[in-house]
Amino acid sequence: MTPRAPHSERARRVAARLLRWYPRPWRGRYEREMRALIDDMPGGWGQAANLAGAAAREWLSPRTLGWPARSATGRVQFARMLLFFTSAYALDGVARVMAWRLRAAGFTLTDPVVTTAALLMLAFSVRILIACSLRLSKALQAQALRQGDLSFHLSGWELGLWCVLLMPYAVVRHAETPPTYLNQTMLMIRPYEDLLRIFVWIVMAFESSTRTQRLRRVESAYLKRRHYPTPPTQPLGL
Amino acid sequence: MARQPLESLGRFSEAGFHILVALAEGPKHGYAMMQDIEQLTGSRPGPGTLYAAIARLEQKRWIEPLASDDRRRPYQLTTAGRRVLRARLAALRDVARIAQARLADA
Repeated sequence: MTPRAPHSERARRVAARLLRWYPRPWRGRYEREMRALIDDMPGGWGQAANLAGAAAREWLSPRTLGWPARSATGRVQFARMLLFFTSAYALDGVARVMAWRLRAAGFTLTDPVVTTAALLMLAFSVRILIACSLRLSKALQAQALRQGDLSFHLSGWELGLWCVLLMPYAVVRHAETPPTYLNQTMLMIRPYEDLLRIFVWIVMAFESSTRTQRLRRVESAYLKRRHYPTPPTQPLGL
Repeated sequence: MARQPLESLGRFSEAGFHILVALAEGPKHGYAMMQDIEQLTGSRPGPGTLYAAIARLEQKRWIEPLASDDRRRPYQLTTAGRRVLRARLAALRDVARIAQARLADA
């Protein structure tokens, strides 16, 4: 029977594996040194936990995210994100006003109007879910990025078109009478649920935008190049 | 000589300070720094904490890596790092002096 590995040895192996949790630019710069450090020091679960925490913190660090923007691409991304959210909530506001006016004018929603609006929303959902799943699929993404083919993402004109096409859905959503099965609490949270839904759609649309993906590539190259200083390769002759 | 205000040196973490103190003796690699800090403070910083502080100090150009064929890369204090450490120590000395005076008065 093989002897059971001591806890320290197992903790050391876990710690070495945890180095993969760090952002790629960090690993490129410090992984070799940290691996040597883990080999040298006595292993322990505390060290492994410390590495896991530090890796999580590093992902949130401005060095990794470029946030607040430390580069031109970061600033552009931030401005675009603001533009996306401002436009979406402004359009929702317009839809609310339109719905209120329609209700005040005594307009009643007919089945074909509601069905058309729902189908448009369904089409947008399918489109964006396809774009997101293709983006998250590593093999396909890598292939597309290698070939410079980003056609499965949403271009600027397509996003604009969807904004126009989804307006009827937003108006219908605000104009319709809430279903009778909703109790007081559910009616109270309904407006906030709408705001949250817009947030999720906007994040997905932003992430699936062709321009975002291009800027991400530039940002990633920038982070690899700039945020972790490169150590000297030649001895300095101390 | 006019003393540089500490605020102008940016955020100063404890681990960062300990690394500067460890490197004041001469160039050291990660594990040597860790052992030195353990001797100084009685507790050993975690590898994640140590390298996060090293990255911060390196970015501020207070320490710099030296060339090495080995996986263990030594670091040394830069002139700016030495100046920062002196400023920090002077501030700590002032605090210690005031605290001791207050304790004596009480």
